[in-house]
Amino acid sequence: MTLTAAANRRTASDRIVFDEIGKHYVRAGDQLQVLDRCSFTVEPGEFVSVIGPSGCGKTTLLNMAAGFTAPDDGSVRVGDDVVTRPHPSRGVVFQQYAIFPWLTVARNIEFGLTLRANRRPRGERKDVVRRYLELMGLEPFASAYPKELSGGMRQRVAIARAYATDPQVLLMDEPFAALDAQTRERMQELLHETQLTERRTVLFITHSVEEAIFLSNRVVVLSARPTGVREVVDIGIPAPRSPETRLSPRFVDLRRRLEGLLRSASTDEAGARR
Amino acid sequence: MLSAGRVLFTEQDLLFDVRVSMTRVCIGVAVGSLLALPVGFLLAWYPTLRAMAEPLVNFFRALPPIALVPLVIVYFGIGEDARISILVYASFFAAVIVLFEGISSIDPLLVRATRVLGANPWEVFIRTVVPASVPHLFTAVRVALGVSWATVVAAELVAAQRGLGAAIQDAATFYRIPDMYVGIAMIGATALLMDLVLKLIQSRLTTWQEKTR
Repeated sequence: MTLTAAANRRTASDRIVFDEIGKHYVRAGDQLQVLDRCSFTVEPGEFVSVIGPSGCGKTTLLNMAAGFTAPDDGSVRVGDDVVTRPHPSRGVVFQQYAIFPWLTVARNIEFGLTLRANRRPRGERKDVVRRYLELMGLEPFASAYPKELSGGMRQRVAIARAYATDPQVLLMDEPFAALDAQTRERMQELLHETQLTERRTVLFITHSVEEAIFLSNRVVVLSARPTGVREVVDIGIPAPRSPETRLSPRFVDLRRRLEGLLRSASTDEAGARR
Repeated sequence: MLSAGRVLFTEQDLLFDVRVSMTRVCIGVAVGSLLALPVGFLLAWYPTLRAMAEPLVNFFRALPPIALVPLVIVYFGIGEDARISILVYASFFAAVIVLFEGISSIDPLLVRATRVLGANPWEVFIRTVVPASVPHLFTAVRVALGVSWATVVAAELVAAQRGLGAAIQDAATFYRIPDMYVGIAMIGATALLMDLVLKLIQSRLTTWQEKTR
């Protein structure tokens, strides 16, 4: 079966390693340390969320993994490669969707496969597009333009487009932050189901503790600036997870604990400012 | 005025004047916009080039094209070349400014998304920057069209045998006031018609665009 093949294919080359990351900005002559010796690893096939106080540099970490920003100290490695620039082996899903408004849904999903770096024959492209249209529940909209779609549907297109090029790892930057609460939960469930069949290495940035618990194998909690890793929490709730999972004692416990960690991280920052 | 119009259309062949002016405008706008297209892309793509060229562009844009008529006559004579080259000039500077403003306002996130999917710089340009620029190209052509109509009539008033401006000048010479009004009305009507046609093509080509109302 192709699915098992895909699952077995996940090897050490899909591991994401953040190694002693440091980043600082110079503002008005002062050096502002944003990230300081920040280290953690996302294992192959693992779904890891990163949460932290707002402005702590979560998105900066993702941008480094994507190759948009370079760290001042340390390095980000995906497999054996040190990340220096964007590469199709690292798919990115953006908060603002960033799908192409002049292409239909099907053509958006197909886009990556028509580029020289990962071009596939037409027949294969059609198969991939059909598969992700189905997986994301987008079949009725295959020939629609993005302007006709709701926010949730647009984000499904963006996720499908990221999966379609078969990247080693997926980087998601608060992909559901712009959606209303109901759509958001539905999207979390959809992404969870997708992850169960696709088994990718996923780095997921969010500011929602609940979202992080529901989706992840592990959650990395960052401290306030200068940001390091405050704690890595194992979720350990068996898959498949369902809407009821959100009400289970284990889930509620984790939520309390993580929110406590976040709150104390934010007070540290307030204390440090004074 | 109506009877004056009838006489103008039948005996003096006003439609021929309309066609002459329209042809001049079309050629001017087409050549001017085509020249503006690569320049617009270059200026939007390279910020340093833009910083250097922008004052220059603004300088030439500020000159009323009609002020160049005497100069152009010295170089090109009073033939068709002279009139067209003024229109090309007018269209170019109107279009180039709209184009580079538009192209530099393209969402950088789309460019980023394209790169992340594996696009090389050429693919980023041809697959994302170009399609995202199409609406701006239409806006540029429409602006150029407006400027060119203003310019062509003024140029014809000064130096031309045919064309709407010449027809109005002709009427003025013989004090035919109603004829002048007909000529002026024809300028508005023709410009309106061309803009409508352009809008129609635009809505066909950019069905994907979100209407913000």
